[in-house]
Amino acid sequence: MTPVRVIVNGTVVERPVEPRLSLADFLRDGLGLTGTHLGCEHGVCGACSVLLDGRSVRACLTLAVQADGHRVTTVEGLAEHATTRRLAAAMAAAHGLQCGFCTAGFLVTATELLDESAGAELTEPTVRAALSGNLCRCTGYQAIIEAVRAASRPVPPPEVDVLPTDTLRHDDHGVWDGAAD
Amino acid sequence: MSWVGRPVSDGVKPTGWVGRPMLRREDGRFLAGRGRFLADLAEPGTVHAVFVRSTQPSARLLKVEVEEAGRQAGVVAVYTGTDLAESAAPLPTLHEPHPGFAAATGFRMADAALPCLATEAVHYVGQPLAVVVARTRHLAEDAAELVDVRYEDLPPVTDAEAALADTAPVVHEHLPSNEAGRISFALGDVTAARAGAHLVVTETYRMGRHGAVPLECRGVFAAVDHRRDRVEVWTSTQIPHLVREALCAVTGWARDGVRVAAPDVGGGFGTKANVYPEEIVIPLLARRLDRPVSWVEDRAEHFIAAAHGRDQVHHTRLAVDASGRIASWEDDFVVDVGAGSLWTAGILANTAVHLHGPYRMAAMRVSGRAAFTNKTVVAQYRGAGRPEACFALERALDAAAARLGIGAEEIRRRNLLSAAELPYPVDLPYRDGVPIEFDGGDYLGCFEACLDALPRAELAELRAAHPHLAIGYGTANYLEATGRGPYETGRVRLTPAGDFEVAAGSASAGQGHQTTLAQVAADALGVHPELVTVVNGDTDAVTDGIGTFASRSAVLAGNAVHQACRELVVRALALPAPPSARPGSDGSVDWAELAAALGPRGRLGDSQPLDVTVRYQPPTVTWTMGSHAAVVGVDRETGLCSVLRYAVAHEGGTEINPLIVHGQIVGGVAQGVGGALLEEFRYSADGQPLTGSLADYLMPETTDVPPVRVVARHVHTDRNPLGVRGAGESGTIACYAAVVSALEDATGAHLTSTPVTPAELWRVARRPAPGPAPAPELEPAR
Amino acid sequence: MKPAPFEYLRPGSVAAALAALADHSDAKVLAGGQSLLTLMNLRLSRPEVLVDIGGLAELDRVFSDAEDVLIGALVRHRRVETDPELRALVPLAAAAAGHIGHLGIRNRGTLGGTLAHADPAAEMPLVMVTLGATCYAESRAGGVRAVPAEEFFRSYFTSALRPDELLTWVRVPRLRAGQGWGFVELARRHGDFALAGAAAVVSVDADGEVTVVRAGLMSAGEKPLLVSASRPADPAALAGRRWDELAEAWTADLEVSEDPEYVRHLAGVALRRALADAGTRAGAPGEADLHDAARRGTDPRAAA
Repeated sequence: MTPVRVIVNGTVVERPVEPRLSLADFLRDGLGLTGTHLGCEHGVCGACSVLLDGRSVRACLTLAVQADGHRVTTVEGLAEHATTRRLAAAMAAAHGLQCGFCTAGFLVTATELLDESAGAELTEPTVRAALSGNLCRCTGYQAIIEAVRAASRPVPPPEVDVLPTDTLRHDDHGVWDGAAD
Repeated sequence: MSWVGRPVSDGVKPTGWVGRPMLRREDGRFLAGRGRFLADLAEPGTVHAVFVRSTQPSARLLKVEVEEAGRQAGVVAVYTGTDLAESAAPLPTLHEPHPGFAAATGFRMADAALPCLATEAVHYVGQPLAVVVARTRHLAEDAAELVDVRYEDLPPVTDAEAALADTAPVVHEHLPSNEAGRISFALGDVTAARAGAHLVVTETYRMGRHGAVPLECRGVFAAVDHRRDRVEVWTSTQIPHLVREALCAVTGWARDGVRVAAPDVGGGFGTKANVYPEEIVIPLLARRLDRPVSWVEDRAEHFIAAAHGRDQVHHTRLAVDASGRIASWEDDFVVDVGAGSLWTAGILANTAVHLHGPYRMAAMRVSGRAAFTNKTVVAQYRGAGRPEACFALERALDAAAARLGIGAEEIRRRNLLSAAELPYPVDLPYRDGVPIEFDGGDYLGCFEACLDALPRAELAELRAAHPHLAIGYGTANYLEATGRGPYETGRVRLTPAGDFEVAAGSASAGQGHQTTLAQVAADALGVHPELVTVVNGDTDAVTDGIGTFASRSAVLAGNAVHQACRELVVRALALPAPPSARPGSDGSVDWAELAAALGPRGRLGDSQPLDVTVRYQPPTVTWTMGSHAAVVGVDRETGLCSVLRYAVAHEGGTEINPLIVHGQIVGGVAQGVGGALLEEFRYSADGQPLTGSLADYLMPETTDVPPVRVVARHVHTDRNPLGVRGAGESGTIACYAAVVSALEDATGAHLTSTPVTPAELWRVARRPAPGPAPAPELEPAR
Repeated sequence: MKPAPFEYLRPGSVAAALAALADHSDAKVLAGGQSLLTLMNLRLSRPEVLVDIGGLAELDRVFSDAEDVLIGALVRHRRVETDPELRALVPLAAAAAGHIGHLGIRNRGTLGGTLAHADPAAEMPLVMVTLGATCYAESRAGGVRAVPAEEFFRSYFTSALRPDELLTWVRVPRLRAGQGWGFVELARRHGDFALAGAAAVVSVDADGEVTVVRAGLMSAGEKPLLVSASRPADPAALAGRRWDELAEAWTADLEVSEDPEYVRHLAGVALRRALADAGTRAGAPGEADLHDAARRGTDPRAAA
């Protein structure tokens, strides 16, 4: 076991880890941050993308020990990041997610793209090329591209609270407690 | 006019919640990284399973030695098929055709009867034959490498047509041949029609093996709930109720002793509308070990163990008159179902019936056979036979048009059913036994709308801008039976708080049912959708159900929920009104008041709670039709190509949520583009899979799918109370044909198989342009 | 798809890294890990010991002088792609780096890592061979060894590094005055390994006459293939020849196993386009390549 000290979403985490543990598994299984998803474990699909010292990387092709001494930001940690909030609102408005499995990876990669572009409005070819390392099997990409472009425009998208707390008594995976048939 | 991103409707304004492009309730949790997919489920004490899979395509299993694996640190247990006798029974077929349909089509089927864990023989690379359970996935993989398997290799069968020859080795010893199924039917007098035709075009078309490949692989998590004395099974599935049925059938467990539920599912597209051996074995292990057991499929496994699709060859003869009108259409096709399929009947039937197309067909003869080979099992992948059928018919139409010297669009115009001809009866029962009648509006008009959305005239501008590309234009039309029964369950109850819990037997893998079913319920109940929560994909939510596949959930689950809610309103209105109600009030219900009244101290405290379950059975399928147009660019020097522009016009009915329907279509097009140009599960001649990772199996990226213009033509249907038509597969079915037709237009070469490779395009693009059409072929009468 | 177990070492200095490699016979160096961890996840590679050099900041530096740029082994592809100094001094390397996989790969992958991996379908081995770069291999026993790029790549995934050696620096000749560069990669999808690819550097004299052509091909066999011609050493090779003629001559005999006719043709196309781009950038006169002009301007699939 090797001790690692990583700042994850702004919080210092110190754990001993097996060297072969991937950063993805460290985040998911070790820290319960399951928003980062594993789609292939060989670096192609991009679903596992996180920010390592502010740059998007595949958490499946990074060992947890390699993150020792570094900063990691996951989709959960981007919830309060202004760029990501704008992007998330645009994604919901454009119907840029269906099953949701690739979504975190896109949010991470597109956040990096938007932050690096520093307010410049992004063209469609630029967005498509920058996101070519994130696979989506549901949407056909069109709505995602539209959302990223919308988030890059100076005029913010309409006010929509798309990260709502669910106000109903509702557990997405709850047991039906109604009367039995 | 802006095409991209916004559904274009024909001006029908929704009066209620149905029809509105509401933002999805699901989005919040996914955007925040708070989805709960199968791999996210964990409980203290969970152990992890890894399956040992055959490395040989066809072999007798001489020995499966697990002792050394079992001794490894952290290993809890290792089991072979012999150790898990309760898993020995084969999985039951998931679809049997209606007797009327079977009789009308001479339908026959053979059962591969694959065991959950192979014991005597293996029939495909990837077939599970042992399972290792350990404290962590890592340790389980380490131990799995130490399981020693000895094979006696047998000659593998890798070609479906060769498999049907008398001399082929038989894949399944208990069967007399490799025929997995057969189907045939005829309409009109094909022989006479063909003999009198002006031109007969004979051609063979192939669609390569590929499949759903969702971004989330499969997975099963099972645990024993001692309080309720049952096994809880979470599985990344589109059909939880059918999984439970199969699990009980194989193990003998009572239905009450099993719960099956789907967590958030990261895409299914049909490969998760299947029952798999892992879904039997993992629950068995949970019982055996009395510990929660988790199995998360990895991508390498997925390529060899999750069901494949397509893989068909069609031998066709299209006879037309001098103006291109179809005189007769014949197709003898073979589908490769690998080592087995629980959906053979569905694939054969879908292919055969959908060879009809949205055209006038006076005479038609179809025969289809399914063949066993030593390849991965097959299930229904988005379209499930319809894309293959559409490809054959549309390519044949293009071939006839070229030979006659009439335009590709023109030959379609001359054959498409017009408004005056619809509804259009076909002298054949559908799979549900009901005589077919296309309940369409105006197929010709739909085609014209597609051509308006993306006219051939746009090519001039593209050619000027990209002189190094050969630009081509292609179209294709499809017909699709959607919303097939037998039924779906919908349930609604009024909660003490005065809001509603709706449940259905559907299981969403991205289709947004938590939103769409809330919209349906909201309209039926007369409330805001915020008051409706939706649970689906769970045998606890509704006790019976079928699931989500075959473009059925809007029709089936939607109407089941609609009817359940309408019935709830009826029952609510039948209850004594509150004293404050005005006489002759407008038939609306004060739900908050009613919920309080039904509480233990309310005025209706001794009444039954309001909780209604409905099984909706449609009278028959609802047909949808659509037209696709594609523009492609081929670099003449390299053969590399791109789809540059794309349009779909489709006859939907009412759209519960136009945003979601639009998304389904664009997503469907992306998968069609992938299948037409990039994706293939390739095998060596001796049955070894050659595409083992996403580096070999090429999925469409952001740079491969163009924006798609979608025109929704709302054509009312009486086939179901909501007037909806299924749309899940609409983007995929005609895409292969449209893209390949465009490639043909660009290169001048008649392309007959997918995926089309750059090397092939380079070779055909080099050839000189074809000369005048040769003399028409006349076939001797049979 | 979890890797097999291994012992993990993270040396704090180059010397410590060399000691680790010397002391362990079955050790692999972990830099960015984009190639190695992929193979390890698939269990196609199972080293007993992983020597993680990621902390060696001294190797994550760039120096330049009048002739060359000295790039440390740990410099990430993304830096090579975007750093203004590197884009100016070694534009061929910068352009090629932008083709490596996707953004997330480039943020992690390193120059040293991809060169040591020696995949003939990769971009940076091709660039280093074309530019005549020098790789510096260090070991405890042997000190520093300069290996010309042409000799560094031996065969598929086999470099000239000895088991106890670490690639530490790469010396890359700067673009000179009168030189132009070209890089063309032909792939089915954005970011894929190339079906064919070429890099070229063309030198012209004061009169604008081409004096030296130096080019390389990737995915053309077991290692990057160098092709070159120069005046006055070999005047006949260049006199009156057009780029397409040169490209065809240089690719006619490529030894490739799958679909040789098509792959040789693609290699010729990539090479011709790279030569034409390099010639144009060098200011050499010559017929414009229609394909190139069209491609550069409005390729409907091109990145901005």
